[in-house]
Amino acid sequence: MRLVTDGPLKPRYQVVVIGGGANGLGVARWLAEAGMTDVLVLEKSYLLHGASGRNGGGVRAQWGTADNLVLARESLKLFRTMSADLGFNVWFRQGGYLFLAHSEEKLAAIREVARFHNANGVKTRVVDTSDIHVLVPELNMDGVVGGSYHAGDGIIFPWSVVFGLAKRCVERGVDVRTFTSATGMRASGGRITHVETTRGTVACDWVVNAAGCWSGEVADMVGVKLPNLPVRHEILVTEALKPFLHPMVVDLRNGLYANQDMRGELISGIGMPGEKPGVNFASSFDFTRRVAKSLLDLLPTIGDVKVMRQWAGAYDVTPDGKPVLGPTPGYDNFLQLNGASGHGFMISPMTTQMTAELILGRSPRFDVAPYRLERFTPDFKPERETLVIG
Amino acid sequence: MSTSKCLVCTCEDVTDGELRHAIEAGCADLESLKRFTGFGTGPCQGKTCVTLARRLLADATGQPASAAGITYRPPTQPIPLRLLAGEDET
Repeated sequence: MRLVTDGPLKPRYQVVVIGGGANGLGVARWLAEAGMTDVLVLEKSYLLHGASGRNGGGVRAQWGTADNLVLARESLKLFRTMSADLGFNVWFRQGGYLFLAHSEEKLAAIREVARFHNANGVKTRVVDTSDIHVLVPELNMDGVVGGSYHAGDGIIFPWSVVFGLAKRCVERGVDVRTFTSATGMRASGGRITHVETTRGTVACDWVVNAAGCWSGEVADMVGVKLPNLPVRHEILVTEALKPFLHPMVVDLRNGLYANQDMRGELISGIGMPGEKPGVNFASSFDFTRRVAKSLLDLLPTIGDVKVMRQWAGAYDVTPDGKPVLGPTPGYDNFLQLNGASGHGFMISPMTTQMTAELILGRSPRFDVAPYRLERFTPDFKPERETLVIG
Repeated sequence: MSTSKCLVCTCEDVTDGELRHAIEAGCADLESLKRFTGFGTGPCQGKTCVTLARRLLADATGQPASAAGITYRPPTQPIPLRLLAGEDET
């Protein structure tokens, strides 16, 4: 088994993908499985250096807008069979997602969202306090008035997903290069003709920008402005415990989320108000204190559980919380695959498949129009996505 | 794949055979090696195994043993949630 390739780059590739995360490798994987293997994936650091190696592994269909919901719903189906499809265990566990409401107002909003989910093929249930107590007996029920639960949501181990995708790409003949950066692009006649890298310049028919929080920098190489802003999000992991926490739990008061991964560790993060945009992977003690307080408020019995490690990653945030997909105005062969605002990993099976279909000249499963960069016109009014968490 | 069962990471039960297998798969730096095998991700957070893994990587790849290591994450040792939350140690 090989995860990466080496040797000199070829002088030209049909497709150059910038970014070696779940999105970049994902699109290369679908292309290779469709027989298009003349593909180069550029990862500027080690595999998992970016958000694919820094996220909490939650995968859910419970979203607030139809455009996010369909991508997430169909991605969940692809995650469910991914271990078998890739021949690599991605540690998928379907324990559901439980959103908690601590006010009647929030519960009313949850009821409305659940109706929207049910009308769109997601079997979210509104649950009462006794249901919640059964789902998570350890939960502090003070003030909880209800919640929503979708049993089909779950968690996955992001590291294995990326390694499984890299393995599949390499075994099908894709060139996967780590520690290789794109440093520039050359354009002519409304097309990107070459990508300059730290290992030389390559010609190409297509370029995919799957650079996550660095996608703005990549687009800027040919003067394309993305509205995406990188925003730091922190996360921590505890020592491993016997399995006890079945669903991912989300506290809608403060954006706290917590799950127990397949290694038994608790993984938890929380939104930090006032976080300034920018790529910043530093850890803060303000986060540690806030997440520890909020987590103990939710699960009071775990005070003696030890925190092992904390780290940070970046959401690549768009004004409407939806990804940027498809061709770029001015450059038809420059495809965007970024801006997913904190759920890029969980929707990557579908967004990468749609991107591959565009390259293969097929009609994507879902129209990319609602996700295209053109939507950000000067008078753009974003539809509000209420379920970006963390 | 090497079948050696000599433990390098005793927290996560990672053997030198598993590390060699990962290096053969292309994990030619310590960060990749950590993520592919899980060494250094247990309660000691690498205090006992990073040096061994680094040596093994250097031997297998010819890189100097002084090549880049891993980014150590806080806290420096496991700390109970209730202390981090500011509760008294009682």
